[in-house]
Amino acid sequence: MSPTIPVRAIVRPRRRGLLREGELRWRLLLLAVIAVLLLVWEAAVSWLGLVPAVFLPPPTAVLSSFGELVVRGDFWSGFAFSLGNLAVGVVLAVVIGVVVGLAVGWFPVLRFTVAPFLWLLYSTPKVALAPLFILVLGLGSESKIALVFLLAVFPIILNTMEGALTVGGSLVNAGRVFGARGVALGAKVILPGTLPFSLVGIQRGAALGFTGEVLGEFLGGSGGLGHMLERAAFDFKMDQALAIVIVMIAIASLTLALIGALRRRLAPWYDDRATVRVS
Amino acid sequence: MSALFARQEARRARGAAAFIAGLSPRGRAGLVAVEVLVVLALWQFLVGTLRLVNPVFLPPPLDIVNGFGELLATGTLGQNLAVSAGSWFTGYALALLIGIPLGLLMGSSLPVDRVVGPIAWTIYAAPSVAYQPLSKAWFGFGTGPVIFLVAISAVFPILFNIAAGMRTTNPSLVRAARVYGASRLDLYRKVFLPSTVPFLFAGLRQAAVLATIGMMVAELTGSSTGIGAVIIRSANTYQTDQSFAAIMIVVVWSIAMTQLVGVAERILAPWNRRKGVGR
Amino acid sequence: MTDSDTAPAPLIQVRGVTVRYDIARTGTTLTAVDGVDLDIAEGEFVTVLGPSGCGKTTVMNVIAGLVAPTEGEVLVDGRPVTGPGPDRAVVFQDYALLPWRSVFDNVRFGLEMQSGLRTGDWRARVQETIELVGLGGFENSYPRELSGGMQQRVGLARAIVAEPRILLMDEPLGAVDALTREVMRAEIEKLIAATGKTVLFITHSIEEAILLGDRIVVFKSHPGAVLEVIETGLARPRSERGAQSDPRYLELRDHLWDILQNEATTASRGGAGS
Repeated sequence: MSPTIPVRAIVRPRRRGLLREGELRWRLLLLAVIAVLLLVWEAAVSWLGLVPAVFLPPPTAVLSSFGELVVRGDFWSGFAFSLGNLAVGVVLAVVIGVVVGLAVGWFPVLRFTVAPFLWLLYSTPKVALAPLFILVLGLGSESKIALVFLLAVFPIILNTMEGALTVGGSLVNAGRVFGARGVALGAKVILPGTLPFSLVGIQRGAALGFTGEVLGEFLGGSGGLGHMLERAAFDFKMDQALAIVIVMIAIASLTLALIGALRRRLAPWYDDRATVRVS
Repeated sequence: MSALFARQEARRARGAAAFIAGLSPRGRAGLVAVEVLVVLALWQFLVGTLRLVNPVFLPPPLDIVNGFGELLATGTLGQNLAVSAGSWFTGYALALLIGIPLGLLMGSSLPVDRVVGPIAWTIYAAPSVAYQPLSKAWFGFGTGPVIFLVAISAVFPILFNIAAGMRTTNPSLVRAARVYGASRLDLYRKVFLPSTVPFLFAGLRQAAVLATIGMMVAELTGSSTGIGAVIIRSANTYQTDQSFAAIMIVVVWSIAMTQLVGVAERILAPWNRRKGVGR
Repeated sequence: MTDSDTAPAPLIQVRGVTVRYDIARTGTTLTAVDGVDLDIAEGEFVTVLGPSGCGKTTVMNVIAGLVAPTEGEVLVDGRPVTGPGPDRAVVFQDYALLPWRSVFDNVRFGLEMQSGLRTGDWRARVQETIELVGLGGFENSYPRELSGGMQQRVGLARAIVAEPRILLMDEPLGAVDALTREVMRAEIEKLIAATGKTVLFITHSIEEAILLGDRIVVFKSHPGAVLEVIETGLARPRSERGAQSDPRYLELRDHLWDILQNEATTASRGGAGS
């Protein structure tokens, strides 16, 4: 009973690796360019004295400063402070964001009443509320966590909502036809379907949350990497400040890469190209 | 459209949801307006009348209006808004000047894309707030750091969207143009660039939002002028009604700028459908 | 003399089904389906033919229990339909496969929710069904790796694995190329003949409607309503090639073509539907 006309599968999944053919040479080019930039930087400051080291310390100074930082206890406690708050805030945002997003995406009434409101709130710069959070919640972790939560929750809600909208429809009908009800429908159809969308939202939420955390630390309190950064810049220890900035860049990139990897692992069927989210 | 379960339920729920779904865009805007009014009224009642929350921490809408009046009367509002607007537009213009050419370059040249892309993503991934102390050390107090932060926040969405737009130009269009004898220059002018336009405007929209956030972050953390400074000062002196009034100004600004981009799009590219990379 | 001598009641009875939607924006009411009456006996293969539009699918959705009619009702085996269920399995036009599941797991989905059928040999049943639709060897592939025709077979396998009494198929061969379509049509015919299911098959292809149906229900859109019901009266198995020389086939084809063409011109002349 096989068909006489062979029907071949049309797409084989691409292996995502660092070393796809041809990509290797671009990686090398990138490394080369970065090396050249670092050299130029070093030259401009140390050797040619084009830029005063006070303003822009050379890479070597930044590196040695980084070495100093890493062995300091207070650096790591600051690190833990920042990441701890970030983690708590993001987890809260994920839990509430996913639930609200699913609810609003699922029930038509909510979708038409609450959703536009949410979009309105999303497009307003919530960072402006930061000083008030500090005022109300104090200088400790609470204000930072609240800020992280506020900034992170909206992209999660909105992306999850979009996921719920996409899944609803044919797939849900299929689920219902074959007997899935209530919890089973949610667990077997809606949740896996919304997952890739939620993860995109979580990625964006984590990035925004980090902004909130650092900003909160600037505005008040004595803990965290943000505070350390501000102190360093204030004391004009630019090499230390740059080192901390690099640490922050590393944290941000790693977090995004981690969530991205999670996305590929948990939701490999999702076609990224259709909706690459930049903002 | 989600199908619903029992018949009675179906008809009832369909009623409310269907009614809302059937509203025209103006009808829906009206609905959102009604929602906002309801929230405001509730807010006024719960805080202003019932004092459920300390009005210092969450001033009711009428107080905020008061605060707005005070700011206006003392001229604080006018001055600082002008400063902020100036920084915003300067920074945005810088972002355009750098972002558009770079984006075009990235989109048309693979090596540039493979080198500049990852670097840009890394810088973009970190919270813009991290660059603030450095920019303050470099540019001092005043509008320098603000402009810098606005520019650095706005340049990336523009960059990435233009690059994406050029890369996703429909190859069929390119082939068609070449069949009809287009030269390389023709291809750029008549196929690639117009294809990029919807992405450009999506990027401009995102950039407007991020620019406002960047401006806020810079002004909240150590500027002496600008709306952000007003927020900080009034918050620190517990005049939270003025803080909130200033925050509302920022919200209006954010919406106004996004609308401005929308208007520009309607004038310059009336054939556009909403497209683009991300939201 | 006794009741048992009379013919059994039709398995599916559609009684005066009307589906209307209110559009608040314009204050009008859209009638998707207007007063459809249809009886389908057990074991019948009924094709519903009509131009692309919402009417046919809406009626199917009502029978499936996915949509509640504004007026009228559907009785299956004498009992009114209140919701969807695996006794009326659906093969969807857009396949509706769960993208995160392999072919095997997607077909298994057809059995999963009915714990009563999770007997020991369900694995074998799923495997058999997959092979039955010609996808042996693709059990671990994912929908995104398969062509449209193959995905549709997965949808078909999922629908039949639980051995439903009724199969509702919504333009299942619509997105498949012409070559594969004829192959799949013949397979479906063979499959249904072997299992004796009751089938409602929606199509916009006249050939398909004739080659597959015991009866053809000709449908119009805007609003959806039954134009005509025709007994096909062709011997099985049917083939496209063989049909070309069958006078009855040609007669049916011309007749259906006339009806539909007529309908199309009156529709465009008459302007927007009610």
